[in-house]
Formats: sequence, C-alpha cells, structure tokens
Amino acid sequence: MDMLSNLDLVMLGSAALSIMLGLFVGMLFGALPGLGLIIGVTLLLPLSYAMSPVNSILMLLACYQGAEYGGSISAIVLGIPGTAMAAPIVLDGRELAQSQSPGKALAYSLYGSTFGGIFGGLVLIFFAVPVARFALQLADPEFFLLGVVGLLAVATFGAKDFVKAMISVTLGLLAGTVGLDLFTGSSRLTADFFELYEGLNLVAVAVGLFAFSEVFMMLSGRINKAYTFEAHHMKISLTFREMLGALKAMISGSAIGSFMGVLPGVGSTVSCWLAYSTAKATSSTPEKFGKGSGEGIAAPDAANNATVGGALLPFLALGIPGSASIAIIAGAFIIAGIQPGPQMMRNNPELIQTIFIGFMATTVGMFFMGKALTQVFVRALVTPNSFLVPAILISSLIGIYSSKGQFFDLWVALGLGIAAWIMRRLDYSVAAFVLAMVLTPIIEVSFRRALVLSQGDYSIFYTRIYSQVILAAIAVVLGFAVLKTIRRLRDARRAATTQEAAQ
Amino acid sequence: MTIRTMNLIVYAALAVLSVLVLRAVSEIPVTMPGDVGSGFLPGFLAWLILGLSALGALRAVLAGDTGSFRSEYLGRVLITVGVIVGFLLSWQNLGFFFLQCFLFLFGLFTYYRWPHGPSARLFAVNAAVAAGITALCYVTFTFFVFVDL
Repeated sequence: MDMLSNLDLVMLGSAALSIMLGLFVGMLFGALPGLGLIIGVTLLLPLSYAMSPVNSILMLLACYQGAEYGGSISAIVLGIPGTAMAAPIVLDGRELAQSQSPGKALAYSLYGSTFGGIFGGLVLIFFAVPVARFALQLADPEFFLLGVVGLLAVATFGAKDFVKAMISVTLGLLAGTVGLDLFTGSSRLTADFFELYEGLNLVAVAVGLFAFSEVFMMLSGRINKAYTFEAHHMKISLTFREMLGALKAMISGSAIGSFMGVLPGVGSTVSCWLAYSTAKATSSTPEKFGKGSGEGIAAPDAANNATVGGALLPFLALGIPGSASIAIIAGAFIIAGIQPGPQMMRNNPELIQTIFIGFMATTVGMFFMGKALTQVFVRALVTPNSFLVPAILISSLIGIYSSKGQFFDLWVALGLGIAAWIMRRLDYSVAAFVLAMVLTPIIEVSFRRALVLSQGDYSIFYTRIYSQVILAAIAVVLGFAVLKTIRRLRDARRAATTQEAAQ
Repeated sequence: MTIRTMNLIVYAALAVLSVLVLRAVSEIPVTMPGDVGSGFLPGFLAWLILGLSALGALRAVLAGDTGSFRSEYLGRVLITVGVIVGFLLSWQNLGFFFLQCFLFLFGLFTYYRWPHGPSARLFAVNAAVAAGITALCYVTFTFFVFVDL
C-alpha cells in the first residue's frame, strides 16, 4: 500500500514537472516574436519518446496553453504580438502598458487566459464524453467524411488561397500514404528507402516544415535587431473590483473561444478578434476600447485559451484533429500507440480522466507560473534572433535524431524546411499539410474498410443519415470556398488592371 | 523573378511530382475483393494535384503580374543551409557530436553577429553561449532523454 502511494507521488511529481516544462517552453516561445506555439510544441514532441504517454501529452497541452498566454507578453510589452492570435491584444494592451503599467496589462491578460483555460477545460470535460458516446454510433463512412470535411474546412477558413491550401492538403495526404500499406503490407512511394517503410517521421516533417522554415524566414530579416523596453511597474495583479469589471468580457470571450475551437480550421486567430468585437459591443464603456481597456485585453486572451479546450473536444471524442497544433499533439498519442477517438474514451477512461485533470492543472499552473515568471519572459524578449536561430537549429536537429536515431530523417527535415520556406512565401499552408498527413490513416482506412464491407458499393457513403448530414456540411464548405476563390480572383485582376493603368 | 513566374515553376514541379507518383503506383495490384487497392489513394491524389496545379497555373496567368519574388539576405540563408549540410555530413561520418555542436553554434553566432564588428568580447560571448547551449543539450539528452548522440 505504501509502495503504491509512493508510486502515485512519483507519478504526480513527474506529471507536475512535465506540465512545468511545457508551460515554460510554451510561454517562452509564445513570447518571442516569430516563434510561437507550433514551434514550441514541435520542438517538445521528440521528448515524448522518453516519457510516459500521459506526461508527454500533458507537457504538450501545457505548452499549448502557455504559448497562448506567452503571445500576449510581447504584444503588451513591445507592441508586437508573439503569436498571430495575440494581435488584438496589442490594441489595448500596449495602451494600458504605457498609460498605467505593463504589469496591470499583463495581469488582465493572465487572468483572462486563466479564466478562458478553465472555461475551455470545463467545456471539454462536460462535452467530450457525450460527444464520444454519440460518435460510437458513427461508422467508417462517417469517419471518412468527417476527415474530409475537416480538411476542407482548414483549406477554406484557415488559409489565404483555397487552391494552394488544397494543394497543401493533397500533398499532406500524399505524404501520409508513404510507407507500408496497412491493408496489404505492400510498400508505397518508399523509393526503396527502408527508413520510409514506417512512413515519414512526423517529428522530422513537423520540425522541417515549422522550425526550419521559420528559421529561414528569420534569416531573411534583420537578425541582430534587439528590442528595448523599460521593465518597471511589472507587478502582475488585479484588484477584486478590476477583476469583476472584466468578468463579462472574460465570459463572452471564453464562450466564443470554446465554440470556435471546436470548428476545424477556424482557431484562435478568428476567435480572439470576434471576442474583442463582442466585448466592445456589449461593454458599458465601449469608448475605452483601443485606449487601454482591461476588457479589451481580457476578452481576446480568454478566447485564446478557451480555444484549446474547444479544439481538444473533436480530437479526443472523434479522433479528428482540427488544427496543426492539435495534429502535432496527436503525434504524442501516435508515438504512444494510442488511437484517439470514441474507442479510447470507452476503453481508456483512466487516461481520459488524467488528461482532464492534467488540463485543469496546466491552467492553474499557467496562472502561478505567469505570476512568478512573466518578468523572466519579458527579459527574454531582448534576445536577438542571431542567438535564437542557431539554438533552434541545434535543438531541432537533436530532437529529430533522438526520435528514431536515423540520419535519414535529418535530411528529410532539411529538404522539407527549404521547400516549406519557398512555399510559405507563395501562400501555401504548411499547417494544412501536417494536419492532412496526420489524418491520412483515418481517412484511408475508413474509406477502404467501408468499401470492403460494402463489397465495393459506393452508396455506403450517402445512404446513412449521419453521412448525409456530413455531406451537406461538405457542400456548404465547398460552396463557400468557390465564392471565396472567385472573389479573390476578381480582386487580383482588379489590382493588376489598376497597376497597369497607373504605369 | 516575378511571383507569377515562381508560382508557375512550383506548379510545374508539382506536376512532375504527380507524374512520378502515378508511375510509382500504377502497377500495384488490387488484392482484396471490394478494396480499391494500395495504389488508389496516392494515384487519386496525384491526379488531384495535377488538376489543381493546372487550375492554379491558369489563375496565375489570368491574374497578371503581382510583384517580384525576392529574398533579402538570400546569401545568409544559403550559407546557413550549407553549414547545416556540412554539420550533418561531419556528424554522420566523424561523430564527436558535442564538440561539433559547440563549433556549429560558435560558427553561426560569429557569422550572424559579425556586423557588430569583430572583438574579443564578441568571440568570448559567442563561445560562452555556445558552450552553455552545448552543456544544456548534453545534460538534457544524455540524462533525461537517454539518447546516444
């Protein structure tokens, strides 16, 4: 009995350390402009090989949560959002930091993030099990169609150019087919490289596409630029009255964030702008927005962190990741040999409960770490890219090598990094690529198993009511995509005509 | 080079990739009744890429010129890629990872920070940061991740 309780303590201790590591890396990478959430999660993923599944999943979730708050640190202190999601926070965060104190603005951000994180966590806890229970009624045709609708939504809502996003998705799906076929065992697209028989290494792909390409982007700019700021009045706390004043904005932001997080491809960038405008529209002091309003900071920050819980819902309950960050976190499940989805919810209730409890713990941990260490992260902002780039490169290289011990993966990552650097500048979506690659086994296996069961009869994909509902959703998304593409083409032609006329 | 030209080059490269995929999967047999076969999805995706590339190319031509595809500090990116390639080859063939890690970091720090002007302080700071990061990597990956580098 004593041994068991000791074991629990050891497990708790290691889980707490994993969460702290994830939070630290997340906040640091979120705070440093140009790096951000995905690179933080990507660089931590290789550590999953040396950790228990629960610890690695909690570490990555903590990194996700921490980066959402970290992005606001540079938005408030420097006026440069550390992540795209923190862009609306600049509007009021910078103003409040200059007019009152950076500590007060950071406090609104931290309290908003914590509130949003807890709200999103509760949404996850209360809805994941019912959604998974419902998902048990779904069969292979529906899972195939859900995968398709997820990818279409990411290409439509999450990218600038639909055609290029669709090419990114298709390339990602193609990359996912590399290796031995799960059905027949025959090798596909391996070019006789035995290293490819198990498929492309997800760590190498993610690090190459996100970390290497970002490093090359950083190198294309001014790498010796050092940010300066005055680090005074950094006490991060709110009075009870100030907290109450921002409560309504936090609630609306959290509700919006949780809902938008569930939708594939939408993510926190859209949700925090929507949260900002909703908070402004419902505020009793809308005139203060843009001039240092606490509500204007708390609402988007709450939405940011609530999105995490929302985004986890379809992933845990259905096994379908809705964003690149969740797709990389899915990598930790894949490494541990766990298949997320309704079966996991039914067969592994202990794991799910641990994830739920751990998720809430990451939010509480974020609050205390934010209070204690925000000043450290603020000071890290002065690190110029000339130091960051080599450090990221070496940790990326070690991370890739440590995942499978293959030099082959390092070359793959470098090649993909160079390709992604060019493709990103042409508006291709690397996030859609990774998401599609992770979804390939679900889509292909569901599609082929459904056909084998129906003896090759394609009507299995549209005869069930659930399939029909998802097909209707696909039609709506495609219609939206066509409209968006036509509008974009018209705008491009108009711009070209104006340019020619001006010349 | 214009963005349109670069777009067209990428579409052409994607078309070549698709043709290679189609050739690679064309002879994979279907072995299970009802199944579409191992080559179906890659083949379908290759055709889809071909179609989308054609659509994209048509769109690029119709949209007209939209600026130039230029990269500032391209030389720095290329030199960094060259240093990474050199580091990987040397690591793969010679070993001594941590020594090479220090040299890699020190070399890149010095190259990137050279515009500050060479000085004893610059070299000392670069060496100290490189040594610190190497030590951190050694401790993390040897004692916590248990990877033999």
